[in-house]
Amino acid sequence: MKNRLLISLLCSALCNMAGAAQASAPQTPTSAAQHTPNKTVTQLLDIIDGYRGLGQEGFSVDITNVSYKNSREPRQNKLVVDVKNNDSIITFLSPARQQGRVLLKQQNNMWLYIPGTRNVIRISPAQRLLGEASNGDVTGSNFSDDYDGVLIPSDDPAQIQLELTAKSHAANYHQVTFWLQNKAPYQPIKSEYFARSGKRLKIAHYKEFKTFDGQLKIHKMLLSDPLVKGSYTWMLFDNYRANALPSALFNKEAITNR
Amino acid sequence: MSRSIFIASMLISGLSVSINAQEAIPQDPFAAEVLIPKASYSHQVVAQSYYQANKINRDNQFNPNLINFPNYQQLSVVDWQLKSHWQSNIQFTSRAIASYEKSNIDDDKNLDLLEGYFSGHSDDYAWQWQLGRVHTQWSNGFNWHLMNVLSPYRNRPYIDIDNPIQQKGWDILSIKYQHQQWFYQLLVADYQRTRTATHQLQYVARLGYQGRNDLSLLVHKIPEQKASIAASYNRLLNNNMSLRAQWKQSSIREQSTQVLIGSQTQRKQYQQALLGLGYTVDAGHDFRLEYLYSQHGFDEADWAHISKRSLLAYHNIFNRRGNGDDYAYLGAALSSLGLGQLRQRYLYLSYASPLSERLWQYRQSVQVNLDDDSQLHRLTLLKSWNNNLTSRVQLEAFNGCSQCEYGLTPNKHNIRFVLNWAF
Repeated sequence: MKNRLLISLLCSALCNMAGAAQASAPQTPTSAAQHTPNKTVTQLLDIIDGYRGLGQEGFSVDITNVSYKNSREPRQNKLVVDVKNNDSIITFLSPARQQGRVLLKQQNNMWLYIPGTRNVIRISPAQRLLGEASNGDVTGSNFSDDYDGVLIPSDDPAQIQLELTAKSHAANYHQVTFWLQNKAPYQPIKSEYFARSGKRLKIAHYKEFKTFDGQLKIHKMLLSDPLVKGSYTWMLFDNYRANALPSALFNKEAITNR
Repeated sequence: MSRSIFIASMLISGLSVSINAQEAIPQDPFAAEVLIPKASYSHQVVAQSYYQANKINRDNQFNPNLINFPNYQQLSVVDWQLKSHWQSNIQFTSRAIASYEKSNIDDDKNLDLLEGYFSGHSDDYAWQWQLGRVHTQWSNGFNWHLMNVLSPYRNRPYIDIDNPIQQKGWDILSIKYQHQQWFYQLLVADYQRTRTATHQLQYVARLGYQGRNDLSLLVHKIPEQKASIAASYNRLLNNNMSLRAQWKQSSIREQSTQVLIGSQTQRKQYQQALLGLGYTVDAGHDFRLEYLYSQHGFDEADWAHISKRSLLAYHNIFNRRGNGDDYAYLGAALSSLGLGQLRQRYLYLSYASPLSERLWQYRQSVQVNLDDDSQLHRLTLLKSWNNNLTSRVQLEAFNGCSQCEYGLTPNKHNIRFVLNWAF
């Protein structure tokens, strides 16, 4: 469960990172806001994606997750994540029983390397999504490419509300609602993720941002599962760094040789 | 104005958390941030120990009490894995074990280097090489692994997943080239027909494609034999299902037939084919189905001969009228149990529950010999107690007639308790 949760949460972050990398020349949130206070939906989606990526460059980031449940002690995982375009490699550093595992993700295709047996096995997206977040986690989200958005009139002039609808059934969530600051640098405040049935599956609160190499990124995020009382996960994104990741690295024949 | 908006924004942000959660929200655990340290090497030590109690199969047509099988066995293994980056493009990987095995019959201690190799790659990862002892894994099956062709055969996780020697590598030199989604590999490895035979070389050429459809093809050549060919394919059918298939053609039969059936009905090539389907429901329950066809196993006529001859040898020896041929025949028959499938058509079914909140998991599988309807049932309960300790209780039950594959195994059933500590 922990492993699946981890993958689920991680993919949530990763796929948005990947989305950021693919977005057409995403502007840095700060510069974008200063010149055009009234953003189009497309621009806002690029900004959202830009909070988790480094443009079109490959990059790496360290992620620490601490998950909480009423029924048990908190659990922590540490990972190193390499991202380039829509591809990502997740290396498990802890807990000890999962150390050395590597998850390779290319679009919807995923392979898991298990160090004990040296096996690299294909896993299905359902396997990565299992756990408390069920099938509705934010994995696979590439907001700029995968969703159409509309601005929702907001009673609060301090916020922008965006309603996103998946362009295809392949998207992990049918709808996503985003709340952003209505001023530069348009920081995300909260997002909610919905299944096709309309059920709300996940809530993300963007708690802290940090500048890495002059670019503002999401630093801390709190996820909650409205379906499970007391289910929270804190995520720490740290040490963003540009990384010239060769495309050939994102291959199941290569991940055992890193 | 802007300040009031900011305050309102923060209030709304905080309020929304309270409304959604309606309970205590955990405090930020990252108040004291610690970056993940970068090291030029990484290593891990894993200690594993198991105790297995066996219910011996006393009614074994291949064994008229000639060989004593253990009533219990214990195995303790310390497994040390090291990965060291010497330069940015070169690294050294090793895996060594120290093991102690004990049963009511004997005990044994071993130190073994499972892997130890240098590997490197070009800056763009297009070229990769490995030199040393490497455990290769080319298969994509669930239970059977036709693509792991390097000889001698060791990869039989369907027999015992805790046997560390199954992870032992081959002494190889491998060069691999990747271009976009394609890879090409040439490999030369040490080859010994038997432990005392002269060292020779075996060769493998592989090519493959990675994507929604995974393809691979390999050619394997060992001295004085025709080349073997194997191919694999796997595909993601949808978010829940994956399909996998493998095929292999080899001129060498896994089963040793000289004693058991003589040279009759020998083929020039032996085919194996495997088809598997994996299905994971959204709630986390995982199902696997796999079908294996293998011409390495014995067909009806051969098996009828083996059954008849082994029964005769059994009675001769049991009645103290056995001669050398009888002993040799049952010896070969017993050995055949460890050489691969005895028959030709098999089905594998497995179920794994999702991990519970308390990190429990239940797994159950059955291997069915479709030619004689005998079965191997395996029930497993896993529990992770903390970040380091995992335990497993595994029950294996063999069910089949006295002339059926899983009715001929040394045990009727066994239970194993496994503890694994990852430091």
